[in-house]
Amino acid sequence: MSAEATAANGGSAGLTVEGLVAGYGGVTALDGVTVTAAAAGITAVLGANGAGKTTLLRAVSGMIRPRRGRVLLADHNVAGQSPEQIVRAGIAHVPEGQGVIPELTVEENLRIGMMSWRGKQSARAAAMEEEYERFKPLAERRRKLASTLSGGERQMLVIARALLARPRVLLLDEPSLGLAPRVMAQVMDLVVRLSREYGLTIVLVEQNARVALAIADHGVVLNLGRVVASADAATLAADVALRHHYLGF
Amino acid sequence: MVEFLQFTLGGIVFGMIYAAIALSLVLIWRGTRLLNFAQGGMAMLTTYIAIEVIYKTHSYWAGFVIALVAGLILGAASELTVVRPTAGKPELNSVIVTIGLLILFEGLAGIFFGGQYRSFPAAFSVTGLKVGGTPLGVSRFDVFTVAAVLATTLILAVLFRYTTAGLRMRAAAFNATVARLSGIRVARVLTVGWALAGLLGALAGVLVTPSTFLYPNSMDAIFVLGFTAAVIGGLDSPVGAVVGGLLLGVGLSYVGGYLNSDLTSLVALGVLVVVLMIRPNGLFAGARMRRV
Amino acid sequence: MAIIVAAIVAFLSIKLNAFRDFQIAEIAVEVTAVAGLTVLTGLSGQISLGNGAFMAIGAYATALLLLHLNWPFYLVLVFAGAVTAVAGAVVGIAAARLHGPYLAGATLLLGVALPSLALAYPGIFGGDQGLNVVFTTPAFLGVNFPLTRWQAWVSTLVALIVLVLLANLAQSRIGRTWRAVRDNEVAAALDGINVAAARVRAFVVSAASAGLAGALLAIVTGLVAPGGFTITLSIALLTAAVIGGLGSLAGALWGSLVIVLVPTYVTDVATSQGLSSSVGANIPIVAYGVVLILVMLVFPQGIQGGLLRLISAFLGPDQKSRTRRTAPTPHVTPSADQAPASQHEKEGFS
Repeated sequence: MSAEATAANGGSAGLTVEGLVAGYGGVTALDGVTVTAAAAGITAVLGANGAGKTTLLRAVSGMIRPRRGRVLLADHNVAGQSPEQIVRAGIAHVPEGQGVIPELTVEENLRIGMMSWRGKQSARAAAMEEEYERFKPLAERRRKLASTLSGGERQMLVIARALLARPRVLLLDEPSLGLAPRVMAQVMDLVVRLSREYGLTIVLVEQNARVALAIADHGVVLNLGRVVASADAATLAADVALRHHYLGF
Repeated sequence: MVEFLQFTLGGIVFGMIYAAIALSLVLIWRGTRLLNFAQGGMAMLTTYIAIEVIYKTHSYWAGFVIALVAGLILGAASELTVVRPTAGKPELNSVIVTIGLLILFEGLAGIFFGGQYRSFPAAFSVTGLKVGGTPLGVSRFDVFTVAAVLATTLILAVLFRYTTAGLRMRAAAFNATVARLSGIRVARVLTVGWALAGLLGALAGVLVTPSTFLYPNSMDAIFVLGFTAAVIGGLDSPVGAVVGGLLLGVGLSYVGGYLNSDLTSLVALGVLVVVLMIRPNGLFAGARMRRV
Repeated sequence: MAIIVAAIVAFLSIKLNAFRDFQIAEIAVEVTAVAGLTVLTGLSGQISLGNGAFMAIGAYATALLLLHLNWPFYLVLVFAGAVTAVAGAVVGIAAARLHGPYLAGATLLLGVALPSLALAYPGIFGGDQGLNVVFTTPAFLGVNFPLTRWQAWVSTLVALIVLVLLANLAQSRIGRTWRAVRDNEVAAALDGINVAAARVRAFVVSAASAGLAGALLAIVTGLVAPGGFTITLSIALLTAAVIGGLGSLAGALWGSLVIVLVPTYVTDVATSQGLSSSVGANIPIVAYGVVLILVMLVFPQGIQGGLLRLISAFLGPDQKSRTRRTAPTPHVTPSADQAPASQHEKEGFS
């Protein structure tokens, strides 16, 4: 991922979700959610368990099909498309807790990230080297099975793979889950760099609202499938009542 | 002693046939978590197509190749039309659908090709080979059979391990969600998997039919044994399929040779039960847990 | 309920001809076996491709008892069921740790292998030719009572008894245990359920039903031979269970109707059209295959499921919304005094 890559992709793009309704079977988990993630910014999606945060990301990336509403990637509506199509349109989703395929090697996991490419072989090799540069531990283990990686290394691997898809929007679901504090800090640093230096639009779902608000530009709070608050991060962090009621701190 | 050698070699030949069917079942199981009960029926149909081509063109190899191509097409077509709609529905539905396909194929064969037993030619001589003066119990064609299955297995293994297409298939089999989120068109991959399985079945069909005669139900028994081999080896393991096939082939050869040929299926059942009691997921069951 | 059905069947069998009586008997036989299978697979979650083997055990037991010991039929019936139940226990124990395709493979091979015992020991079992079974109408019915009608009545009676017993089992604690094991073995075990015992019990019940069906088959067809218990039979039983609606006893009836009547009907149509023999003989086969595929695609829950959907659609939207609402997902709203959410908390969908 690089600034040039973003420019080649058509520049930074904002993501707007309008009136999204989605759920599972008879249950509606998202009840008309509207969120705007500014281009090249970090938008945090917060709320308690069961609020609809993961469902929101899944509906955006196509893992579940929205029942109503639109998902606009720089004015282009992708709601209802398949995940394969949405990834090609430029939205990459790093799901919570899973993402590494342990039966494959590190290198194979990375190659999967480039499956949506049409580029030449040499370009792919160069792109992969770039990720190895960014994540040295992955380079050391490139031929080993992904099952041998630690939690933090796995998180790096899934992010690297997502970046290889050359997205314009990156959806991150609980990237800090199960990570030691030092590693979590590294991941958060990376997230900031991705948006500041490379112009990626980041949507960050985080249970740990304090950490998320520390790096986000804008925040959205969900409760029972609805948006109950939407403001810039500093305002949200300062709103003590809101924090206590919905965010647990 | 000579007898033992003959039974062993003969068992290896049939074992490779079972291995081919087992491999096709493993391929489909790993990719789609389905049991394809129509596998034997597809193989029977492609063998009929082969014999028609051979009659018309007088060329064995034309028939051989066309059978393999027909296997690819039949496999892909089955997945696209009939199996895909059952995705996401109760698991047994796809079993019944493939059973329906099997019955359909057998009926169609009866209609288009007639029900009488037909003989199918072998690619090479079927006279027994001798080493020194000792008859080995296997022929040149048998050697070809083993070589053909081995070669196809190796080619597929290379395809899976070292090509991008193979990586797509493995990724889709291990974690379809992650694969889709990476832009892999999993649906297409599944169709290719079924096509390759059809090819393997077609190969098994043309290789075994010279020994069994060709009629609409001719592949039923082979399918059951191929399925048994896959279960013995572990449905997630291609290596298991080959090992299971060989074990079964050789084992049954001994039973049929030294004991009573009516006892073969009982012995097979015994072997299967013993293996499954020790390893309920087959010999080569990995530590792989199903991701919920 | 059962009495009404019995009355209907009795009425029909008097009105219709001997061949229809034979079909009624056939259907009753299949229903008995399919009901046991649908309980095994639908309620306890264990697939079996080998229940034809249990039918064979029941049939051969019946033939041997009638031939050598000349017992009255009801006694033979009980004994055949008991013997098969024991066999079911043995199989159930062997299969207790098997699931999915491994269980399918083991039972498939059982279905293939067991009948071959008859070929391996022709002295006892009559080999290829099989054993003949003599069954006559009892004296009190008089000389003119047709045998086929009696066979139909006996079969239907047994089928109804089995259905009632299975229905009671399904509603009982045993049935609930089965469903718990089917849905989540680990959770069931944690709840204190003896999973292995429940699974074996299901096999015993299913085998006994199949054994009784086999006994009926023996007296209805008069011949017990390996050719009557091929793997096709076992597969037909599973097909009937799934097509009818897995886990549903009414489904066992629908499925049995399909596997008995469809091939016959299509053959009739084919011969009446005067199609040449090889084509004519195979059109029913093709049609049967197509029926299986279409029913599965159109009614993924089987015929019983499809009927229920049609009925609820018919009864109107109120009925539908009442049945559609599922248990709501618990939403956890943190209150002011709750501990701050730990970053290590891993939950279901948020």
